[in-house]
Amino acid sequence: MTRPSRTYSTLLNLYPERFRQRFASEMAEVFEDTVDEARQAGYMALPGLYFKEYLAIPICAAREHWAVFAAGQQGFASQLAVQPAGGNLTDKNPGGNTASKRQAFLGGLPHLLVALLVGLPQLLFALKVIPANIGQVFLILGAIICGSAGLAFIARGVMKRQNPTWSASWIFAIFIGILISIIRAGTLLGLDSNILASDNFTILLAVILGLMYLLYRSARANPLAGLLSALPFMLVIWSPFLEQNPAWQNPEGFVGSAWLASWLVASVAAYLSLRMMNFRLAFWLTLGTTCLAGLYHSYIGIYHGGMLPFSEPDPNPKATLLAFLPVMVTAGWIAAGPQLAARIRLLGQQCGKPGSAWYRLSLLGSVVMVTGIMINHGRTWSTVFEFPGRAAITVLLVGGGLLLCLYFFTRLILKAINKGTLRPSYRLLLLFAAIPGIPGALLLNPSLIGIYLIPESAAAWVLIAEAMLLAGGILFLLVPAANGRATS
Amino acid sequence: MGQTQISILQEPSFYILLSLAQGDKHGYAILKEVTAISGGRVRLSTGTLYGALSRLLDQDLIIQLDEPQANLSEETLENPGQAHPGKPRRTYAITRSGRLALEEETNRLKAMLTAARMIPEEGL
Repeated sequence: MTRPSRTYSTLLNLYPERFRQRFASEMAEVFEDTVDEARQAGYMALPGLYFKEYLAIPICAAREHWAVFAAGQQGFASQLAVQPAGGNLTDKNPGGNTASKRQAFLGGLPHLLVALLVGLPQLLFALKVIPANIGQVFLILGAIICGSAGLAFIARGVMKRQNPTWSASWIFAIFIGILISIIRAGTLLGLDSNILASDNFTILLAVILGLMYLLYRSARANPLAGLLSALPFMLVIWSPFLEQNPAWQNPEGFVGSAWLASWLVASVAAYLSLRMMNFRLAFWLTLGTTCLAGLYHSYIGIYHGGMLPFSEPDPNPKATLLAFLPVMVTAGWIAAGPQLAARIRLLGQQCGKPGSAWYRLSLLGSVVMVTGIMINHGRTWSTVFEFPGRAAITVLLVGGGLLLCLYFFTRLILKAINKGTLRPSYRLLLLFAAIPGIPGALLLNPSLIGIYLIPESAAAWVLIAEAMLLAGGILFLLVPAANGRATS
Repeated sequence: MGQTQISILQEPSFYILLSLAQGDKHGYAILKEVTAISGGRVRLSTGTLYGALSRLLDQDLIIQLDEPQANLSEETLENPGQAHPGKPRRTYAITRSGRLALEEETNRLKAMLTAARMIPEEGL
């Protein structure tokens, strides 16, 4: 192969993967034929030909990338939806590749129970239909029913050695059940009743890690299950907006209506996601549900909850939006983080031995990075994290971790593209932009990114999102990568 | 997907269909044919050719044949620069939808030409 042909073949890499697979070899042959003919016509014809052919490639490649974008063939969701080892988007349903109505109903049931047993009594009390003590009974009853039913369903799956996809919706109930048990146990043992408050850095970290573990394992086994398990957590992170609206004392019924509406919509979203068994649809349903719930919660917090910042003269849409956006980003990462972690792991496995090492190193960088961020934020929660040189160590850990993460992640992505297991797309570029962006945002003054209403709480939630994204980093260091089995 | 979705063919696509309407061809032969039938006015780059082929394939206006076809045009078979004996190449053939799209586009161009001819030259 001549040098011009080699150059041409190299330039063909600018095309989208699918296009290259279809036409690259043919195009290289046609180029050679064209050059042969031009050479026969005289060497003077060659420079013009090279110029025309080489120039055409980036232009035509850009057009093909645009065609791919317009056709939505390489959506972020579909990138994420590559099946993890052992996982798939189908359920145990002999009738077809969607969940049956019964299975879909069971997937939406925990959210429906929360709406009816938690949201509705609060609303009825606010409307003076029932007394407070009856509402509290409903609340306790709801917790018992949700928690025990969730445990029963998961236990059934464990005994059968396979959890159906819909059971992922119940993970939230179990998690909350465990949290309540810890709080109650702490109270019984005479410990601080505020054991899970956000100013207890160690406990908060443990809760984050536990949550990350559950969501990651769920997403790794089955992408749709990952979304179903994330949805309830994406709803509860809006609860700080209701803090200034005591549930049993607000006559307007905002708290009850927020719970009722959010969880009803979530129930429908879970039902539809399971009926369709379509990851992309489920992804947007999950985000859409959270968005609706978040807007209502923000509205309640700003307009009726006493959460308007002192700098604002009156409740206004701008303040609502500024309060909404960062938490919504966080919610989005709760859904996407575990999926991304599972995807990175899969890419590493597909790229052989170097890939396995690179994704571990990349995720190690992420862990180092998030450790630095935690130390930085931890000083506001606990004096333990205030020590000489804290700032320098934070910068060192975050900077070093970021470089490590980006370097090996880039190598992994390029390797995967060369092997044809990953298609290059503009969304991949967005992902690269997000990696340094998230710690950057966290290290900035929260007010610069609009988190000025509840600075430390909001920062904590963003931290959860960041940590969620990096859940795989912690877990991949512990779990053998190339086992190729589902372990849900 | 079919010709109903293609209201107007782009010039490279039009010439490619025109070229394939005369017989199945591989990429280089199409390139040469397009230059010939356009009187040298249209000289496709390889990138433009395959971009157009990709879209025509996606629209089912042409199909890809894995083996060199027996009904390659005589000119193609006689020209070693086009056929490369012993070097199997994927050839392309026009489909029924492709022929319909070509016919529709030709009629459209004819109608435009007729309309243009109805205007006196000084009015143009």
